[in-house]
Amino acid sequence: MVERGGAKAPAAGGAGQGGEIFQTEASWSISSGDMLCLHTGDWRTERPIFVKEECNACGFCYIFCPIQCIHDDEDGIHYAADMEYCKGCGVCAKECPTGAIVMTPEGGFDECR
Amino acid sequence: MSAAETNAAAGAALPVPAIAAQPQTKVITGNGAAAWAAMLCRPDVVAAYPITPQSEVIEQLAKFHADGVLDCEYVTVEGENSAQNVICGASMAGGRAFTATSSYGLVYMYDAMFNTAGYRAPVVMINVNREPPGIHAVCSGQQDMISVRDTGWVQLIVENDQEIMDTTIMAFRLAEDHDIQLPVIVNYDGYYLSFLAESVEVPSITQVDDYLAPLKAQPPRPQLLPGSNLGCGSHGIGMGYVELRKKHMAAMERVKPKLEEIEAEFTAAFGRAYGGQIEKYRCEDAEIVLVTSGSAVGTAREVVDAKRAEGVKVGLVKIRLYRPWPKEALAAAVKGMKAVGVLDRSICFGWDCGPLYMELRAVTPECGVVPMLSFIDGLANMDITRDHIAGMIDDIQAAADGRPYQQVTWLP
Repeated sequence: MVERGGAKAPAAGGAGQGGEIFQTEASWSISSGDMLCLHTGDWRTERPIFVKEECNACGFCYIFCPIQCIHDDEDGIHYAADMEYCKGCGVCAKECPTGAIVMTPEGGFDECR
Repeated sequence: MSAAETNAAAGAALPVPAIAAQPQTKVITGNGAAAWAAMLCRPDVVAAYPITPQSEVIEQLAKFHADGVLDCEYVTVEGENSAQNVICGASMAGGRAFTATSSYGLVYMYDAMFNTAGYRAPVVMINVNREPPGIHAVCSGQQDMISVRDTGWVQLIVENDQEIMDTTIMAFRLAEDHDIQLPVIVNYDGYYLSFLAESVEVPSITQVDDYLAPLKAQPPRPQLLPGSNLGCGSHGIGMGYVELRKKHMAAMERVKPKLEEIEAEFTAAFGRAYGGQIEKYRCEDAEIVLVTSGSAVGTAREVVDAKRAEGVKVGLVKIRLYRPWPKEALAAAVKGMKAVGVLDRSICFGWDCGPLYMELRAVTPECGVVPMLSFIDGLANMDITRDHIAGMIDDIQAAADGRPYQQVTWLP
């Protein structure tokens, strides 16, 4: 049995022969380890820049983000996007009532994430 | 360890409803047989939407649930797409899940069927064969099952009410087997079987518990649980996808010997046998053969008997396993025949013939080049009569005798 919240790997599937990405018949993976998922941040051509001075902390960006990658900023008041998954769609910037999110081309950044 | 001991070791003190406490002979419809079989297998979740000619299956299950006979979550969804997604989720959460549908309902859950198969969720589904959308036909036909051929599901098709009962029980053993982990469809012809009342041997629920008990002794499948940190289906780029497809394909191939194995166990427990992937009827010294599936097999048996009495060396092959395609068994069965006919209750666009015929032709390198005849009959409740089948056998014999023959024949 897979332990709830634990990091125990699922039992190998019937066809397991080693050297495989998945230990199971289906595409099960563990989020506490190296969760096998799509790093949609790689698709981004523009990133949202959050301008805290303009932000009224309404949370519209958090609500509208289609992949739910916006989370509380470290200050606990404002918001930030998880660059691992942000696709750069710009919905947050479009919905922001105070114009506090500015979409900026990726070309100006050294790091992808 | 016997199945019963395995069951006991699992600590299962399962309730035994009075109506299913003893083996019994009941006169029930095909739909009734499907519902009884599903109930006897104790699904944790049933989610379904009614559609003619399947409705009776889920009405009967709803009654079992309401009467306290079936202890499950019965989800009355708003459509078949949701039904498929609900049972897929239930299966991923570790439950045993069941649904039933037909025709429009089957194609309405098309995308969700890919999910269920791709997640390797071992659910069981009844599909009561009916013509699909396009030309509104509330009629029998097998085009619906043909249309979901490549969704990655195992597909079985059966001949009569008893086989519906028995195959549905076997389907749970097959789907949930650790070596398989694939969803399974049990198909049967709408109208001809769905509403046909026949005498059916119904096992007791304890007998079915014992038959399914080996599933409990397997390594557990991973399961989605609230708060757990597992995900599934989230990675599909590059080699991960290729690996999963290859595993899926390999599991499909394992279905063939596994079906024979679990049917042998079924026969040992219940005394009934169906031949596994295919059934060969009077094929021992046959020179020509008719291949078909579903309820038409019953009629074909009688006609083959009659033709045999006239001295025609004709055999009959019944296809039980549609996916994976039993190509090795079929090649062996038709090898050495002088001519082969295939009776389809559906059509194959682009090949101008029946779909089972098209697939049987693909084993020509293994079985040898002989005249092969495609017969398309029984569309939209047009009866496949004794006369039709006798005519087909005459045509196959003529081809075997070297006379000119028509490759594709539409009846009537």
